Amino acid sequence: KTTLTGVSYLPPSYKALSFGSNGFVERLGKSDAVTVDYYDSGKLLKADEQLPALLSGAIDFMFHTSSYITRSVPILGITGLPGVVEALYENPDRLKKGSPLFDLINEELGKEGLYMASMMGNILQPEYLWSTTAAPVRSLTDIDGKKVRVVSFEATQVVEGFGAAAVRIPSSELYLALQRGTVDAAVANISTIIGRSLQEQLHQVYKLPLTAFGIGLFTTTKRWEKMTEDERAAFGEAADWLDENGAAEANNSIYPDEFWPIISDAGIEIIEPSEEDLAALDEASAGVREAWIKEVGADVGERAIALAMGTSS
Amino acid sequence: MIEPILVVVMLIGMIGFGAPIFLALGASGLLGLYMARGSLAFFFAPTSFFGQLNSFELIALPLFILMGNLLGATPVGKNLFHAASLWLSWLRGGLAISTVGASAIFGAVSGVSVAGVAAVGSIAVPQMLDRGYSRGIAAGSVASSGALAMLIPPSVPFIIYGAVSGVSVGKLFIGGIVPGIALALALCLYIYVRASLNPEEAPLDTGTRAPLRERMRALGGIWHALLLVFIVLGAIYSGIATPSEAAAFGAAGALFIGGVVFRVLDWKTLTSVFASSVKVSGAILLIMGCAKIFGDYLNLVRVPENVSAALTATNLPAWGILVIIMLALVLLGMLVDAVSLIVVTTPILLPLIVTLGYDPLWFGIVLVMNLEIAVVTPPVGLNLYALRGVCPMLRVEEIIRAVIPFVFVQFVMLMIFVLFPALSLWLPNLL
Amino acid sequence: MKHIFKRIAQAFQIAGQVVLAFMMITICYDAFMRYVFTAPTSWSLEINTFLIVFVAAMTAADVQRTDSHIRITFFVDMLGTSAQRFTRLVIAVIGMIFSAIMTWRGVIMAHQAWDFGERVSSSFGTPMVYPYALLPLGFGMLALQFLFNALDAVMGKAPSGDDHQDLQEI
Ligand SMILES: NC(=[NH2+])NCCC[C@H](N)C(=O)O
Ligand code: NA
Ligand code: NA
Repeated sequence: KTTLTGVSYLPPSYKALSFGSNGFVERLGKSDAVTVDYYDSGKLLKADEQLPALLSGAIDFMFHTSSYITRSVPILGITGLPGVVEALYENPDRLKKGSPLFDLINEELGKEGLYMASMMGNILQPEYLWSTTAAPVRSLTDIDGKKVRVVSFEATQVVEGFGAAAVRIPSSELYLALQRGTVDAAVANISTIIGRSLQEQLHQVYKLPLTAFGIGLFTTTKRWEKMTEDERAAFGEAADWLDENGAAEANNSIYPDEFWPIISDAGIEIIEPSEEDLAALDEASAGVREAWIKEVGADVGERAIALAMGTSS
Repeated sequence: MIEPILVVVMLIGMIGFGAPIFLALGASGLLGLYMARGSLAFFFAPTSFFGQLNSFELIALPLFILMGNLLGATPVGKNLFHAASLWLSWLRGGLAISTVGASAIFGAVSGVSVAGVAAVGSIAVPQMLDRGYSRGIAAGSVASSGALAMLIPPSVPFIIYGAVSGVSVGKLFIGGIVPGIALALALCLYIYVRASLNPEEAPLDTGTRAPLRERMRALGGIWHALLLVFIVLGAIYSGIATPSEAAAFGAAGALFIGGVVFRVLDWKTLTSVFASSVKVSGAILLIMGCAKIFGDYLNLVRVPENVSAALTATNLPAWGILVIIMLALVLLGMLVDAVSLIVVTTPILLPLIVTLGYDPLWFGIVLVMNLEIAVVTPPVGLNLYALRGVCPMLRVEEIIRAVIPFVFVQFVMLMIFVLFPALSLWLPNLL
Repeated sequence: MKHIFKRIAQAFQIAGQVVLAFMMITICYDAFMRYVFTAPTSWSLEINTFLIVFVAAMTAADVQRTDSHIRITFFVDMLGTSAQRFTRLVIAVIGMIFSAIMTWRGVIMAHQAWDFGERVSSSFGTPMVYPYALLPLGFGMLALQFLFNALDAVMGKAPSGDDHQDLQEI
């Protein structure tokens, strides 16, 4: 029986994010074709070393946050483009296994020797702007002059465009940085907020969909082709389950039923962006999309965006 | 299970035969990886090394070492200990006790313990030795109290435990205060008792008590040190800098004190301070990187996981399980670095702890108290090597022997907080 | 040969000193710009993080050259001269093998990062080939240094003394 070694840097306590990966591993492990040797929480590899490990064949599969590798694998940038993510998020079918966009992504990944077995069926709820009592952000104009912690390459330019200073600090120091006013706000997915108890230091969330990410299940084309029929079937079936349930569980159950109530109970004011603000975001992020299209090639880029926006099929 | 034993034997053997610690860790870890995974395993050695060091939080280590060495070129350390010896001349072991106090203050400045050991050790150890303190007290007090940085907020281990367990980081920070102070006091008490029983280990300043005027004047000589603490703490608590960044302010402040206030930093001195700082930082970081190769081997063959799982299967009364868990963590802590210990054992032990009816917040606190021990126990005890790095006059074996009684004190304190959870929980629950 | 090697190792060490100064200055600068002008840099965190790897890897050979790596000498000091020589030889050989493997795999890591175009997914976006290349450079030098140590042990030359006394001199 073949042993497949897989990794994820996320700890199981990041419940919404690891529901899919844990379920996948459990199902794959139960199959008769393979045994699974799985290491989460970065026990075997830190986030930054996962992709090199996969490429060199030291591991067989990895779960990775798309936004961590968009500059190495540009096509994945589609999961984080401002002005696109809201439409993509609202329409789970567009990123499903076998959808035209999914296949397009894999076509591009294939050129780099990568194969994505699933992107958990959708991206996760977008990253919003969370701010402290001392420096509340309730509208686009409030962003001006704020120190905003941003990780994502895609969101950085947009936030800067609205007059904020994009700050880079390690996530382990974010809690203290918000508490002490080293930064005023953070662009983050709700999982990051809950996972690091940041709600204790925050006072409002402005639900501007600045960027997003999905958690993909990746292997290499080489490894995928080397699998026997049975192995591939087992892997594919578990991946089907992931595609069906991964993002759905987070977006439709854990987030609305558990995480957002925690946010409300923490007394955090939830602000929906106005239509004008959304339009302004769309306009402000045109440059980011242009730059991305240039990077992946005009044809592929425009096709991908059209598929994500639902303006072509 | 025979291979991990072989690897550990090789580690201890190489260290015993005088191999550089980094090499003993790296080579035995690599051998283990090879036995577990064949040639594919060679991949993990450089990635473990790189992944461990590729972390901004570590920036505080070289910068605090630089700060300590810059201060070492000035009379600041001497003035501090001169003042301490004048004011505490009535107190047996007063200088070692002040050192513990300095470490506790440093703990509020830094989130990683090696940085604290490096900064406090480079100043305190030479001063204590100059004043006739035994090498055992000097080395033991610094190495063990340096670890307080993990318990006293800000604390990197608490942040990691928070992410792994889902417990509030804010509550963990507050929860670390009482055990941190209690542990500091216990170390002081131990030093006092030991110094009283063996007066030759910590000589009192003989002669008449210095007149008040002289003692006041000595206080005037410590304002530089206070300024530095103010700069670093101020940078963190005002929000100017994160704890890692604050180390750069500390180093810059020390440069100012040495260059402008005391004017002792000519070009030659300055370059030699930088040379030795880089050398010492490099040596310690190299050990940290290679310790990760060794730790990742243990993780790959799931040693900590299996040990934790075996514990959850025992059929003992709750307090018995707890005591065994703590002993096992101390043993694991000899081999595994602090972060691995949290990340690997928490997901397995925490469910058991919760089933037994204990608070995850409390478990995080006692887990970090365990780490206080882990960082000073060989063969993987980074504080020991950090202290050797900044104090070349001490031998590693001397430092190891010196910390043994201090580890005993730490373990007693750990047991008190394990058996009486209310001690650590009242403060966070109050707020 | 050995002379050239020594020069290179020392050059790496001096580069390490410059790096340390760079860290101190740029981190203060970044925090200052952030706090006072709300205009932090995009590169300070990223570059300084990689420089930690620099300090560890690139100075290793020079520290080994002066036999200043942290180790326990208590037991070997009790051995006879020839046994000590033998131990030195064995350790040097193990050191050579270990460093050679780190160098070899480091080259592959850097090369693949180059080939694949791996970068940090931040706006600064450091190409990973550069930080990865620090490993083969540093460990390659370290492998050479262990080779010299092995030769010294074979020829019965005394190890270069621990000149790690600079801390006490200041
Ligand atoms: N581009 C992103 N925002 N990716 C997700 C980052 C989540 C991670 N915990 C962090 O905050 O560092
Ligand atoms: Na601390
Ligand atoms: Na230890």
